Amino acid sequence: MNEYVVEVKNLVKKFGDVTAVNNISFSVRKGEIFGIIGANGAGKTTTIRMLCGILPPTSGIVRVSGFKIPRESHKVKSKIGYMSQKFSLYEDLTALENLELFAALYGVNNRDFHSEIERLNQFLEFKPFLNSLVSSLPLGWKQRIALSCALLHRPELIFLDEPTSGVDPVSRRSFWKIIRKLSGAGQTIIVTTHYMEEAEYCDRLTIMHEGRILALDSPDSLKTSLEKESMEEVFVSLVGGSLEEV
Amino acid sequence: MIGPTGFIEVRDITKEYDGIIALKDVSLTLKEGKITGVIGPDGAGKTTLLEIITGLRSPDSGEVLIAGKKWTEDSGSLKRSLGFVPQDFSLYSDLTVEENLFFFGQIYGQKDGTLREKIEKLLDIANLKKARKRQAGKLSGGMKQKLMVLSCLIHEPSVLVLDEPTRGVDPISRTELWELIRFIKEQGTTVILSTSNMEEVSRMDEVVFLAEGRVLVQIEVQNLSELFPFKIAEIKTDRVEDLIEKVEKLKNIKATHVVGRRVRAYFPREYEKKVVEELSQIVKGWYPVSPTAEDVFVYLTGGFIGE
Repeated sequence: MNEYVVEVKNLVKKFGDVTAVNNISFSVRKGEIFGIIGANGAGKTTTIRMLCGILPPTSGIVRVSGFKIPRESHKVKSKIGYMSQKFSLYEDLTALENLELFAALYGVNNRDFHSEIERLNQFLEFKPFLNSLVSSLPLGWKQRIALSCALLHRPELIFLDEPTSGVDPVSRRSFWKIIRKLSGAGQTIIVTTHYMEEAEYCDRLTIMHEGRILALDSPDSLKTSLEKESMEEVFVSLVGGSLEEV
Repeated sequence: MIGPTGFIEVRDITKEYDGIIALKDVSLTLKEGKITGVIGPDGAGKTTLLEIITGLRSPDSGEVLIAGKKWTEDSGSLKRSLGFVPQDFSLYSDLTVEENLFFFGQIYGQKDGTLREKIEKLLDIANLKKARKRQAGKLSGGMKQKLMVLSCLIHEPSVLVLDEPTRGVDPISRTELWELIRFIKEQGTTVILSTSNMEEVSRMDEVVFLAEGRVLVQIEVQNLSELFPFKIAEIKTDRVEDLIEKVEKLKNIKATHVVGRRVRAYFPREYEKKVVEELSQIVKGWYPVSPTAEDVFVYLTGGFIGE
């Protein structure tokens, strides 16, 4: 269980005078559901972009799937999948056309594509919707198709960006059940969100604020150590009232 | 002000867009001076319902009465007694915080002297005094939301309607926004708001669960758990998959749900004794927990059938 898929040490990213990520360190184990939680502007997206190899760090060490970033960034890209519920699908294409497009972008060949569709359908059950235009699908199904697009090339590491906000609770529960299965099968999941109900589903999470890590532990341990009932209270007590300072 | 009653009746509202049903036969009676939450996922019809209540949209059939007045008959006085905070930022980005409030006050015909006093009070309540000279477009998401609420309070409406005020807002701003909403309620204003976030239910007096354009239930928050027919046992574990497999094999377990390292097992009340026995064979400890608002919603939308 101690094989690390992501290792981050003293990572810094500056944009001019602004330090977006300020000396953070953390590791993510293989098969873990790991959360990066923070308000807008906390540094979540900058961190993720560095992990994906699309933004070079100012300083610090980043290793993803054993590859060093930024030197081996090109090798990392085939190892990762990215799903954002809101932006990742073409609404005027069918579900199948979207899947074909993503498969082509990731260099999945035709034979593999069809066997992957069969494999993914076993637990995502999207076949009845394959020929529907994405724009006509309910949100819960769009979410499944978006996840499928991110899984086609069998990534070791999957990034989920606010994956279930606004989705109906039944679909949300099935979605997290699928994520748990993926994690059980050894795929590593990193979730970024500022929705605390999504934070609860993580095995461990880090709370970021103004580019720094304020806490890193399991949701239950954080609640116990801070004597709070919910992750929302944990977040509020750690980050404090400083967000609204002018 | 719209007089002493101030409650809202929604009668048999139906609304379609290009043949797609947004609301179907929606009827509600909303109490005066309470916070009522309209809860449902994206696409449930929340915004359409709020826009019909506030007179921004006409229903295909049905009607809305606010303190006995109809939009078709008394729109002028109803507009003066209502405040509506829409989902998208709708203020002037290049005006400052106080210029925006001043502008809205003048639209409602408020006199300069009293308006300035009111603005001072509102800025104080919302903790925005320090930001008064800042351009609205340069505020954080949470501050923009608060300013939108204030701009709808200037004319002292007796009903305030907010469409997903906490969407995309971080937990700290959300807490502050709820403090503001609480304060508004304490002044006697009737508050109606929508959200897709089930965790916010505990902050409301009454909830309306909406799914696919229909009302699943309207109920006081304190009575919500009465709708749920199952008991729940929660078990903490580091080996979720192993435990789930064992729990799901138990005869009387109706469904399971995993949140982080906690497995929740749902069973009918009448089988409690049997379930306690069965669970004690496979786990060392567990504890009973109350259903969440999400549990109730999932149950009402059929999510526990066939699990």
